[in-house]
Amino acid sequence: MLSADEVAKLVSEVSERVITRVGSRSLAETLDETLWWEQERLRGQDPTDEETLADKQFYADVHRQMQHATPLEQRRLLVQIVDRYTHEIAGNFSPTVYKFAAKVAPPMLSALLTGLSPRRLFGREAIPRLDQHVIIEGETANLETLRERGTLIVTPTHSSNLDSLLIGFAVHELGLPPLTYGAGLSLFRNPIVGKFMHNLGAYTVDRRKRDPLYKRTLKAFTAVSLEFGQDNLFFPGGSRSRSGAIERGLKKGLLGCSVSAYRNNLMRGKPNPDIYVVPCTISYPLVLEASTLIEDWLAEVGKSRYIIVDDEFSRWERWLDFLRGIFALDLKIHIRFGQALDPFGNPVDAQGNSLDPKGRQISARGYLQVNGEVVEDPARDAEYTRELEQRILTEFSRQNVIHPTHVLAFACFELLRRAQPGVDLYRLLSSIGSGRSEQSLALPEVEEEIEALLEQLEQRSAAGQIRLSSVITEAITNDDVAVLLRAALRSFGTYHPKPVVERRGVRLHVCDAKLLFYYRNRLDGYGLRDAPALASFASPGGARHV
Amino acid sequence: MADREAPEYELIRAPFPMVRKLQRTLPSDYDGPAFIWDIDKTWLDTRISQVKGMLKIPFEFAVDKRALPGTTALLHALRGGPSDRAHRPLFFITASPPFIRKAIERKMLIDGVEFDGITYKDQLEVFRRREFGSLREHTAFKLGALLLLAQAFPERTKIYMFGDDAERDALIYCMFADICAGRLRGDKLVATQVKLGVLQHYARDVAALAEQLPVHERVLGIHINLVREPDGRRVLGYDDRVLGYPSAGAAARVLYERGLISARGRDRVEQVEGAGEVVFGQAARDPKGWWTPPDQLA
Repeated sequence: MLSADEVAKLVSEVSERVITRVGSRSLAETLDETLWWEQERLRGQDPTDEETLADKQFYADVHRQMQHATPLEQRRLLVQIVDRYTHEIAGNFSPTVYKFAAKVAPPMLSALLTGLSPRRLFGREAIPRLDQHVIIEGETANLETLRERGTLIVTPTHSSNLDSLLIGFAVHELGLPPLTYGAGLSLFRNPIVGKFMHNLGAYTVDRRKRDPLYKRTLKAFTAVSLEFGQDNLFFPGGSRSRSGAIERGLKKGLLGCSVSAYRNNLMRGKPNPDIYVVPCTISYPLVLEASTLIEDWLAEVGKSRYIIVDDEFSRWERWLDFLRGIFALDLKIHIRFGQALDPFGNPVDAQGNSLDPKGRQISARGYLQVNGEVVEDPARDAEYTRELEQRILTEFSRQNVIHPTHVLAFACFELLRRAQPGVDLYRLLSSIGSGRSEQSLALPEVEEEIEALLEQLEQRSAAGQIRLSSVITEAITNDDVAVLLRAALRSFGTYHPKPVVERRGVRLHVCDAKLLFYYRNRLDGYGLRDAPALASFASPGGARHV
Repeated sequence: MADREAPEYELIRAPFPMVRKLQRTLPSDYDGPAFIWDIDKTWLDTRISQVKGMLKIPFEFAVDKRALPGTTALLHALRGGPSDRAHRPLFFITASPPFIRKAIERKMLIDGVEFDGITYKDQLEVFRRREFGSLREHTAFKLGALLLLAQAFPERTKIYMFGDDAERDALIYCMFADICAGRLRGDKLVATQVKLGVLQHYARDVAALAEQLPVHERVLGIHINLVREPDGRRVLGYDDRVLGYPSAGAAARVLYERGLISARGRDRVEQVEGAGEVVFGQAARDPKGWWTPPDQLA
């Protein structure tokens, strides 16, 4: 992680880079644009909020000074704005807070969660540890070597605001230094973790700011931090998957920083210029914010909220319920690292050499050279970023770890969908409904469907197209659907306020159709059981991030 | 009458105050097995029947409740039947009060114990009626709950019962078997209950309910977990249809031989706990009073 001096240098470099790029446009035009977007944003903010008041004052001053400003003064105003943006974005990493959090948080969390039972709190029973519930797996062996040879960008799937905390835990467990990452404003305002976010390496991403200058500053910040050798964490899907599906499309703006940082490193003759992109999946049997996310996905386009600040993540009691469920039910969250890639989407070997599809070493530098010189070419780089996107998506699909909740939800949803052919998704979900219109399925019918699904999953898993959790593997190996059903039903019956699916006698009742759909979507887009892709949109975020 | 707070539960006041949830209706031509289990000391290692155990209740969460070794696997095996997929009927009757139903049913969910019905003794109602002697005396409650279940079952259902020797489970189950078969009814049933400490009015209500049940041999097996006397001393006074088991594995071996569970189900139970051998009752079968030992009858 960068020192305070390095952060100051980084901030100054970002400002300089952004201002230089603005140079080609009219300064007045850029200032006007910023003022318009910012005033537009501030109009919708709480007028009593201190931050809003300060912003209003600042832009009122800029507006006043702009009236008769010379080009030199206009430039000074622009520098002021960019500096303000950069300082707001920049984190304030504290090694002390990080070390303290890494050491104390996991055991404290474990003790707190298991200690919620007085008997356990005062008894002599062993308290389960966090590392027993977070499985870190996949291609982790070479990460340390790659880090020494270049800079890492870890690019995980994104389902929950817990993701960045879990990746932080995984990175610490793997003995790697902390990553810096862009965290949404909602995380900083979160009453539970907000206070520590900056100190743990996060920088702020305020998605309410639509000003192109802010976006350029943000992108420059990421690129420069990479050029400074700071390992980064990007959520390439942009925001949390609203539908529960894994991403089928990525935001290429931020991803493109990998090519630009590599190019700049080469052009400046940096000693370790390589950039390695490490795709990674985070698979939860239960998702903390599932209810809010799926509600949002189902809301009509245009009405859904891109920024959610009032979801389960901001409520203590939901955290406790969720984490207690994870501990009490012995659930596992899988963090699975995929094949590391160069900025052009080529896989790299243990030493960080780029490989072609036949496994032969190739020169990554060659991708950026024209007549032996590294040159800047935005159109070419955008094409490379598209290649990288495709490779990351392939890895997401391959490293997606399936849990019993996903299998049961998929099986139930398929049976209900097939029973009403031709009905669109929204009508189908409302027909499954809840309360009086709650639908039920005969257990043997569900078991048969799960068996057929497991057969296909086994084939996909053998072909390396998907990953299966240990419970599913056990169910397949022992030809025992019951073990999977039990695991799924206990997960569904414990965390969410209403069970997603509940067994009553020999029937399974769907008590929450939306959540059934949400968990089903983790298997969406694989063509299993001839099911249509209902949630895997090939748009940024892969899961309809409106 | 449904519980207003939780409509899936029925509040039953006669023949004894109890709260019941039934989630499955067996088809009228069903002639397969149905299993009826006690909870305290038969499935869970709890002592709800004792004052100390009752006092612990508010401090125990579902995750704290421990199943007796191998019993959860035995319940899975019975539910699965010889094919592992039979979903055979499984019901619980417990003297635990209904206010801990959440913890018990959550424990069932955590352990994957599928049940079709559960009956709790309404201890609060008994307390409210100031019938303090009936708080720890379970005969009328258990007989009443069993008779109500038998009424709900198709006539040809084969009932297999599971209890423990910490209380009078063997005796109560034998009485129930005799009631079903028509050998223990009317005044004799009332007097026997009273002898065991049941209040007159409960004894009469149980006997009245028994009269409504068509006479039919329904009970095929009684299985007693030997938690108090591992040598099975308490079982010897019954006939050989009463079986005492020192471990879930020992019971599983017999249940497999009788075609009630699969080999895989048996093996899974034995993996956890398989020590010891079962003990069969040694009293002679007497058509006029077998199962219920004569010295227990009034």
